[in-house]
Amino acid sequence: MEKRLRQGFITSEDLKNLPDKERLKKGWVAVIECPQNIPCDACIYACKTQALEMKTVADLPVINYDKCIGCFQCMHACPGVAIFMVRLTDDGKGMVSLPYEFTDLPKAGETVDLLNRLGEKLGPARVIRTFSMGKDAAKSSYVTVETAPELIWDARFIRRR
Amino acid sequence: MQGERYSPRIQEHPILSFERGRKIKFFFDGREIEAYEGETITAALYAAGIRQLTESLKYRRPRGFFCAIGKCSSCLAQVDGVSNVKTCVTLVKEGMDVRSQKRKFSLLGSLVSAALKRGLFPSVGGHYKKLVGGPLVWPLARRAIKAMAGFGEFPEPNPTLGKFLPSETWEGDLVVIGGGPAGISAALYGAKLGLKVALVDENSRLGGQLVKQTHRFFGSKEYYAGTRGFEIGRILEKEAASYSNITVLLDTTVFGFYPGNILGAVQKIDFCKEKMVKLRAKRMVFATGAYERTLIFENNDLPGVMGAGGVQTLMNVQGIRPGKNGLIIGAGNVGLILAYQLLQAGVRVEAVIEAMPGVGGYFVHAAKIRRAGVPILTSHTILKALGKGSVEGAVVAKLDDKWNPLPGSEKELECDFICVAVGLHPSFELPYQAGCQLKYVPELGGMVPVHDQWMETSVPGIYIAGDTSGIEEASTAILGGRIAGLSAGLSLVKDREAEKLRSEFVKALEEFRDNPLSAKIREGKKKAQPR
Repeated sequence: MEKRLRQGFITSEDLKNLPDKERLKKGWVAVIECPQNIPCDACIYACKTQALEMKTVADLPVINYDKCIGCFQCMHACPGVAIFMVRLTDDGKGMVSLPYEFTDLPKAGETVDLLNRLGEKLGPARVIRTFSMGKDAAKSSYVTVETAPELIWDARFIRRR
Repeated sequence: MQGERYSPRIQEHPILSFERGRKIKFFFDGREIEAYEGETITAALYAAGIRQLTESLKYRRPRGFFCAIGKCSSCLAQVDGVSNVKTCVTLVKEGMDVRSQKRKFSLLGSLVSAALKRGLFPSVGGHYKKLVGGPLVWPLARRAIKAMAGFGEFPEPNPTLGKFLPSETWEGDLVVIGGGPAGISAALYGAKLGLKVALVDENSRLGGQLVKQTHRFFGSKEYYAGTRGFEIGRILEKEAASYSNITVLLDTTVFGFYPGNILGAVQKIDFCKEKMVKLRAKRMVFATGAYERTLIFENNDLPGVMGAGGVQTLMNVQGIRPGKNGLIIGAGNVGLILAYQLLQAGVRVEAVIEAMPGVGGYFVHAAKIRRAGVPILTSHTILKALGKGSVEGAVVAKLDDKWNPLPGSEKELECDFICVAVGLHPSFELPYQAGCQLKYVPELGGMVPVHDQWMETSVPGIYIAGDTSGIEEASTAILGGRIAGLSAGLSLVKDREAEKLRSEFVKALEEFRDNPLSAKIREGKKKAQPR
């Protein structure tokens, strides 16, 4: 992984301790892609259920999926834009919510291309909604898409067609 | 980002909003140019497609701006008859007459240029090599040069020049030079101890380089983690304004240190009206920041080759796109963040190239642009910029393990501007002039004043903070500034609580740097300690 980090990407194999299918079907959970010891604890303070833990400011955040209620607050707080939200629907579809800090926000119902961590096309996805969190300077935009369940660990960006 | 029709002025931005003033007209070399009030001359010209602002004296090469914050002097022009105006920090006005300072054609001049090109006179940079030889010669030579230059006594402005208003004197306990995160923090914590403080900055607003940072900052909750850079700047600016014992002097450039703890400064009222300010204080904090390094490659002076910070200023402060498709040299945090900011402004990024085998910045910053499809070419360098009069492309090449370009690996990349993001160098000039001992510490970015954990330099009563004490980032600059401000205060007044607070800040700084990513900084800070 160390080598990939220096090239600016990880793969889904680098993700450790992922939630199981059962948990994913219960609702949203956070996937934290923060593999370096950056001195930062913004997500810890954003979490209202103490699902995230960190010993010192430069430690990696550790998530407890039993405590995570899928509230999106850590995704919004993360300065590294490194937290994504995933879930599975009852009918077995995958859903991903990801930060999208650009002006060309897609519309609900639109079909977009899903991109992986290298910007490569994974396949199509349907936009469920776009939304923003925070006010004024703290405002950020997010997009929720529905896609094939196996893509939730790799889809990290969208591109409008 | 995708599909938007190209126009240089940014109308829509996901984070920022640009409030443009009244539409006005001004003149550049006789040509009428449209602009908006509040824009700098450089920005308005850039938006009008004019990148060449001047030409080099010797070889008459076209020159555009590089830094956009009044440091590099590549943008000097004649404005309403006043020569050598820094157009990148001068606001455009209705009917303004701007003229490029191109040399007039003369036969003799052309002959001299041709002779210089053929090396008939001392080589380029020859003047740097005079008198510096040997530890015996240089101190004597420096004294002689200083004497010749007329330093040593505070100058009185010449009233016959008409440019200067009557000078002013400010006297107090603490003067802080530099209104970035470090400087504001130093002023705040000096003021908290009851000192009479002056906070001086050459820009027309406080915040330093935070004003152009749109990303959320890392760090700890207590130090604005998760807050966007420009917002941190605003918060600090507001806090400084709430203290009645802080005098903020904007548009004020400190030009020299004089014996008796005096600083000479010039306050710009207008581009043709200035006021001399004499600052006398018991303690001083220099938080003068840093300037951008450049890189040697063919045509690196071509208009359109700009510093990363310069591009950020143009784009995020002035609201003007630097071009359609950019190439970034350097994958440190600045280069990576800039690439993301360009995408946010609707500008394509052709690639980020990096000479090292891996990115130098944080992984998460690299990940943000990689998933958007921006290639990061590691072990690559730029060989030359292409284009006539302005950037039209670049040639890059792969490097072997000895840093030499691999023959045959050259390839041409398309781009209409190039951002140089190869690091910063501390602005050490003022502490150097004040007699502070300097040391070359590559881990901290180059020459830095030697300083202890209380941020005091080798000259008692002179403190430093922020990038001046080593290139780092905003959270540590804020902490360093607080320590410097408290140290300055504690040398004048006794306060147990403040002493405790200062120790806490020192501990917090240590904690911030206690991680593998900060190993270089820790090493550098050790080297910069006084013996």
